[in-house]
Amino acid sequence: MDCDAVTDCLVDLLYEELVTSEAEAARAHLEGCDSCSGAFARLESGRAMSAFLALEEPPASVRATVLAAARDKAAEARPQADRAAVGERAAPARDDVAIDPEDEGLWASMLKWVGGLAMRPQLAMAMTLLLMVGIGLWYLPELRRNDPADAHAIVDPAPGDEVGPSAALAPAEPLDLRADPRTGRIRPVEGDESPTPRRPRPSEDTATQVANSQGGGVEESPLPVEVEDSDEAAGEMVLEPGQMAALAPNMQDDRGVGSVDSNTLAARPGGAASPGGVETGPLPTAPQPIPQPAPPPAVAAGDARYQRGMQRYRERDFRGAATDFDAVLRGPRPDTGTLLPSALHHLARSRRAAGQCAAAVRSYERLFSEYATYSGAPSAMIEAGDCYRRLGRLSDARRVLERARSHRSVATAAQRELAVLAAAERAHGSGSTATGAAEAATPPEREAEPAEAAED
Amino acid sequence: MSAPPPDPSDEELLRRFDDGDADAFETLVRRYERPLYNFILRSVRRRERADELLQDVFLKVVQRSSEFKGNSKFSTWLYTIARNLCIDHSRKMVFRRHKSLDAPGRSGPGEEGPTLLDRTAAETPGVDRAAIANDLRERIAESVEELPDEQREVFLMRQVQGLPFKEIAKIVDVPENTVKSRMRYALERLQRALSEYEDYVSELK
Repeated sequence: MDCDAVTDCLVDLLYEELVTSEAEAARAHLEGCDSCSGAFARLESGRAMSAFLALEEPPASVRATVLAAARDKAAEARPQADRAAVGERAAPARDDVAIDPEDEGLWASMLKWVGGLAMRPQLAMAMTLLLMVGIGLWYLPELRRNDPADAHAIVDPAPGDEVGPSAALAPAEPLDLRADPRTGRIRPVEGDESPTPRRPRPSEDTATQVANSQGGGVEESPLPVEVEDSDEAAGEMVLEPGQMAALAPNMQDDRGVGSVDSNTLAARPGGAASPGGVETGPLPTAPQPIPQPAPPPAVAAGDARYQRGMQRYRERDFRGAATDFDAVLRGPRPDTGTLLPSALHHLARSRRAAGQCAAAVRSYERLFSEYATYSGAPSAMIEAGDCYRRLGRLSDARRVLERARSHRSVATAAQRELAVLAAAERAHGSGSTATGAAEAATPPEREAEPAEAAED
Repeated sequence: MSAPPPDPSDEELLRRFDDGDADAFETLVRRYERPLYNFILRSVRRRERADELLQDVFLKVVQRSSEFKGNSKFSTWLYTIARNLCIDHSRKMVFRRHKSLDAPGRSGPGEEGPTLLDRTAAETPGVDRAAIANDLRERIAESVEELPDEQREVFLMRQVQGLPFKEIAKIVDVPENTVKSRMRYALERLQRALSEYEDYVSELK
């Protein structure tokens, strides 16, 4: 087993949930790997200390209230059974009716069965739904059937009306795309603009537009306000809506294992490719964006907050941006699954840019744990590695950078960061593999906790 | 002499309660009230609110007992209800109180005291092991409350209730590997926050 495989099963090993052969292989690896054995030792220590978490006793009043309610409900349920039983034992005698004890029991049991059904609201709802579906299936053909008179009707177009494809299907103006020589990004150039791309307006935020136009888009980072050492832009392109779908097969190569990329394929009926295929030559004309229904007001508010955060980030107001992204994360969850991971990633970036690496790593860790398939995770790993290194957590930095190195899109950046890390490790005398001793020798960076943002 | 009958399962107890057996429900309450209370308490961090939410959870179970179909385990259903109530509660909270993990050890509510390092380095001989244990219990409770929400809930469900990771994955609706990652991050954070107690804990082994 290699380090990645062992790292993935450390928790299973800790809680003894591995099959014997896997456990033996993992333990054999631990004996020969300082990094992995150190990581496992930390987990063992964390688990050992967790045992000291004292369990509080709940108040007795809660149990009393709950049990009283339970007895009331149980008492309501019992009379039904009691009545059925009484009905079996002694029905009122009637001279003119010969009561067959067997029938009486059958009747009572049927009553009990029907009564039980009546008390099950789910069954009633299911029957109602079936009824509605049945009516719909019966009535739908009736709606679709054309009136014989209409089939023969000739509709003359109004004078002046166009006959032919709707103007809405006309292709959009082709976009002039140019690569930014500074960053290498492909950006559209409008009108008389110079080759230097302008920063998009907040309403044109690419990540949000992609998410909105394609119903769950790939998270793409906007143009950063600074050139960062981590080369976060490697493998990423900032595109307008529609262009993402056109480049889907190319972009798939840059995604890590398990990355979420459903928007690009989902935008195309049938999945893999458009009927015309995707060309590898010049970028095709941008297809029409798919109109989306307006999001609910609460979601739209989060969207606006996200855009404001992006604007502040571009203006280098990193603390303000962090406030906005934090508010997005605390707000109601949007329908699309893309806003939150992007907001969390940018929260981490904002904190990092503001020099709050300790807070930033918490956000990165949350991003990795909560959105494991987030497509921007490789870039986030590079950034997290930088933060760990600055905090003196060299083994954590090595761990996350080595994982990043397995992603082709950031492999070069990861390798560069590992070289920087190795220099830091040598400077602290820990050699090529960082251990806990190296971290202990380097006092971690202390910084103030970021002020919590109050929601507007 | 015949072996005593096995304890009825949670699902069997709930079915009996549906049929009118109140004692069956009391057995369920006694099984789950303590770990469930601690899950809620560490999530909402307010005792009075935790009391209310615990009551709400069980009352919901009483009201909706007939809706439990047995497609999942009772514990999954119970903790899903509890988690949803905790999430609803946290969304109503505007401010969250954050404490630094570097905060000195507290000797009482609102008081600040020396850290463990300060106390062990003090000139007064004979470190009180019981005092260290109390410190550790306090600190770990604080550290657990300061875990990110998604890590804390996984940690509590596993540590307090002993739920399998597979079941936790169903409750929080994420893949099992994600649950294990969160657990790993949680344990690592706790280890970092409480590293000064490692020697004490290892001596107890």
